[in-house]
Amino acid sequence: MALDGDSAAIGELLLDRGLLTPAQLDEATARAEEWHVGLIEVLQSRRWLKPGELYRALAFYYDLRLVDLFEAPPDIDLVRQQDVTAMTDALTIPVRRMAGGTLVVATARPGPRTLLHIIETYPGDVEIVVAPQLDISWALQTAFREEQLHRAVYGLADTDPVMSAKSVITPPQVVAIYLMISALLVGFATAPVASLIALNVVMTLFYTGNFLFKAVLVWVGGEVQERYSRAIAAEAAAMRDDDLPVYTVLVPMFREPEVLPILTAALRKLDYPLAKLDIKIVLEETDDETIAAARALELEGVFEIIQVPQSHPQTKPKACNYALQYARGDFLVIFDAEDKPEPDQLKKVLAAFRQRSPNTACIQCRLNYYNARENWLTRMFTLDYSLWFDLMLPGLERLGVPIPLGGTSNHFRMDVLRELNAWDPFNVTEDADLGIRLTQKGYRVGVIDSTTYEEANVSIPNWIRQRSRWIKGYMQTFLVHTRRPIHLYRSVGLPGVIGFVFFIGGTFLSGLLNPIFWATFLVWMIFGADAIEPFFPPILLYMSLLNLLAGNALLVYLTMVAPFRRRWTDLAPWGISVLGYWVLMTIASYKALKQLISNPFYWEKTQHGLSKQTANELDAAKSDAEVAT
Amino acid sequence: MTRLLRFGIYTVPLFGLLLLPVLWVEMHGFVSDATVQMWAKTILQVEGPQAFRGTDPFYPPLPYAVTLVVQALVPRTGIPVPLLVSAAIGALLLYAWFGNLRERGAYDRVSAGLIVALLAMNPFFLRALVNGPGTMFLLLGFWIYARGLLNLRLNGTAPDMMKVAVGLLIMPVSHGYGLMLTLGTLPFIVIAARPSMLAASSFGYIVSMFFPAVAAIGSLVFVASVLDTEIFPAGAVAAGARFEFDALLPTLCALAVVAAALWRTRGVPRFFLPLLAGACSLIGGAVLNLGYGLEADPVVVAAPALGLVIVAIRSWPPSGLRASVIAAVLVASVPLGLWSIRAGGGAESLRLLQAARGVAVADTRAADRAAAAYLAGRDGVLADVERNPGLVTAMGRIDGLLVAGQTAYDVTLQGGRPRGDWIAVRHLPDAVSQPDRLLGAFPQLAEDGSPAFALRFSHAPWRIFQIIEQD
Repeated sequence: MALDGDSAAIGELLLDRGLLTPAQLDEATARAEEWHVGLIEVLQSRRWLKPGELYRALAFYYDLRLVDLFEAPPDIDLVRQQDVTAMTDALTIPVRRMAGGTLVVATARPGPRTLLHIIETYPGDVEIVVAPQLDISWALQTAFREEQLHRAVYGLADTDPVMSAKSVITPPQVVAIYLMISALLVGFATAPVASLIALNVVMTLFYTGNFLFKAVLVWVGGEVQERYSRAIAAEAAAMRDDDLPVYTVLVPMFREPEVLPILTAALRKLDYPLAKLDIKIVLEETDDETIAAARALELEGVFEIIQVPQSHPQTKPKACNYALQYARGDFLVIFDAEDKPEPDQLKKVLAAFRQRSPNTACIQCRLNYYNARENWLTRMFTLDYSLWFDLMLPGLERLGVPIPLGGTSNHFRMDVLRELNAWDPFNVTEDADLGIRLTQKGYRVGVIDSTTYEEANVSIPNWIRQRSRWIKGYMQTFLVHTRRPIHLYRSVGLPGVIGFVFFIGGTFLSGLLNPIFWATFLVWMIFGADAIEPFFPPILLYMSLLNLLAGNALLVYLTMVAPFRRRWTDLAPWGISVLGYWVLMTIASYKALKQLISNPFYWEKTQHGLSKQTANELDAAKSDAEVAT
Repeated sequence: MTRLLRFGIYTVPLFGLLLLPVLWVEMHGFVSDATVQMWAKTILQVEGPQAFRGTDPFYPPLPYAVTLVVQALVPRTGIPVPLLVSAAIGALLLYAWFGNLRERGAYDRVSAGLIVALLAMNPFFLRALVNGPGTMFLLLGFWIYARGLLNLRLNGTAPDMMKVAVGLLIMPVSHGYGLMLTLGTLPFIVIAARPSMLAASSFGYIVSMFFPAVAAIGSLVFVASVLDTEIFPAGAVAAGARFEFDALLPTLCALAVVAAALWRTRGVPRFFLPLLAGACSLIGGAVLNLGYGLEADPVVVAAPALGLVIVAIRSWPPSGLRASVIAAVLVASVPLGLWSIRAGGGAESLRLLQAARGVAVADTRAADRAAAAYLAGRDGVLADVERNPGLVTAMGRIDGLLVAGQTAYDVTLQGGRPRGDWIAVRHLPDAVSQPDRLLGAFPQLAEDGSPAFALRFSHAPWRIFQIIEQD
């Protein structure tokens, strides 16, 4: 599409003023035509101009005043009378009413379309002025701070309280748990051996079901993925840039200034028109260090820093909910600070949305690690993720079981995300919870073959902190979605319920129950069969033996199979040592249980940037940035 | 039509059809030793006294467990239960092969049906069928392994890898020879690997492939140790096989179709190499068995080759005459197979050939039946049923028998003090050592000279004594 007249004239003006070189203008013009966007959007995605220079030129061209909203903040009451989403989308804001009744409206995108919006939205006399986009965004955040913060924290709890983890456990759940414990105690008091056998049977059946379910998932997941992957890759490759929608990228960060260059480098490498990206770096307003680091990078205009007001709970989902209110895209993805998504990921996601059923509201991409071979823990973590994302999640999708989303690289349709009140800020695995909630609300979650590479934890204490948060979140998610068992059954069906119980419940229950069986095994080995025989009648003994030998061997084997899809055969033998990883999982499970009781909403922060490879990545990203400038 | 219904419509008649040759040879006096042993073990386990505790009951665990379940469900069938299981596995295999040829090999319905029918009439298939569920599971395991090997080369997905592993897992837990066959695959499994899988680490590839088999064998050893029992039935290894080239003939002849497919796919490594790896695995297993002798009959050793045959047929490059050529090769392989059985087959296979032709063979169970008839209605009979399974199958029940785990039997065997009213021993005059443990404890029963026992029945090799005196 040819460049519009205004864009061409602004380009000429910038050239005349020596702010752009002819080569830069040619490139910007070509990109604008190719991407089907205005010249300003392209210039916002480059670091050729300082923001002030661009907006001065715009003001000059349209013969409008340039205002500085930091120096002369807008009238809060006036701003609060307007719809924040409309102002965010149109990049306009009312500034103040003059003595004669004329309303001053600032815009970052002067032009015919904005003029039409202003005429429709602000009746009466209006004076249009130009303000930088960041000024407008900041002014909006200031004006709606309390209201948007409240919505970010309580949006879900207020509108759909039964789906919120704000109440860790509801009164009916307390009664149910109380009754179960009472029944168990009565059993122990009246018929201790029979009660222990009954308990043993339940646990043994759970284990058997758990490992069989996982084997089925891997089998099914492995069968389906290749066919879909090719179709999606083909459609993604054929996409035209001018057809692509605006895509919001949320990057919540907290005290991790060191990885910012890696993140921005990775986002710049995305095979997606940068001018169509609406990137929000979401920072806590108290995180001065990261805010300063982000500003020091002098990022392109498409990178916007959202400062989240401090409040309880201080969690990632709350920050995301807050930033979501400023998002302008039709689709949205969350990346973690240290993420390196594959360049064609966004296009593949769009292709997947087109190919999947219309009720698909979310696409989960795979996660894996770029520092897989750093030490034993990173190897095991890589095997764990390979099994989870490459094999099990596609299996869940195929079987129609609710999919717990993984921390990052989940892509949403913006309308659905807003309809569902987005993430639960009281749930510390808000992503897993949202995946289940989407399914319960009649939407589907898809999984595609595109990977985002992250930094695997290199330190065991750090890993336990991270994993305990995940397990605590799974406990919260389990408690939330079992509040209405019949509703769960009706919304996801029997396979969905079974899958939910084994996949979400099984993840933390196996961690909690493992020590009991390990201890039983030790007692057996040390004191002989006589010590356990009373509690293991023959059929139960055989089932337990099956779990011990076949079940554990199968789980070890699945761990070994996991890296084959990526041809990482060197990692496979490490799967034999997965028992050590299970021990760590058990430690994390008990830590999670303790926290669920004592501090349910506490967000265990994972420290990033510890890996040697991350240090190398950081150096590479810094040099890339220098080259780009 | 649902998949389950279609499955039932095809497999139930197939099951019935496969029982026909089984009953035919049984009618002419042939029942394999493996069938008799398996049946006896399951009868003992299901119908035996609570106290019964076998010393070598559980290997091979997979066919044993399945037969045990069927024995518990249908205890009195008239047909040996292991053969029912065998026919069921056979029907399942034929159905799966048909589906595999249709879906993966792009054969039309008639061609696939014809090929599967020819395979069902192959002498090696019939030999496996009448040998009992162990051999059929072995065939199933090798087919899954070979199929996985090919798919792994073609697609390289996790389920393909799992197929190879599942195949390698099934084989050692199905049949003693399965251990040899699993070991036989070791040097050749790499041939079929995708180069990209070996690029990062060939060691990792091999370890992953063999982990399930190693875990299965380790588990067997562990179970044997904690349950204080043996893994292999005593004498299984000692039975041995002949270390002669003749013993390889059945395996080589069973691979005739595979050889033709190898020639046909010689320019297509993704088909050629998995087939080559499968063929080498079979030959490797057969050679190992020559040394270790876990299976005495070379025809049973050759039976798993049919699993590779179906994979070879599925890999055969499409052409107008494909089905006809394959059918011709399959037909030609029948006389070749029969010749190899005559040239290199074990005594049991030769007896099977006779029985299949409708010639009544020497019924090895006649003596068992005579002893069982004599013991009918008698109580307190001491018998080493684990070493003499034929007696149990001939009786069809074990009422009246005193067996391992019961005090009277244990005191008799371990204390040397006869308890009970009767003692039945199997005496093999030419044997270096007598397998019957009661005869081992009371060697005088080989003769007639003991005042404590009175010989009441003698039908070689059975000798049944009444116990006259007890300490």
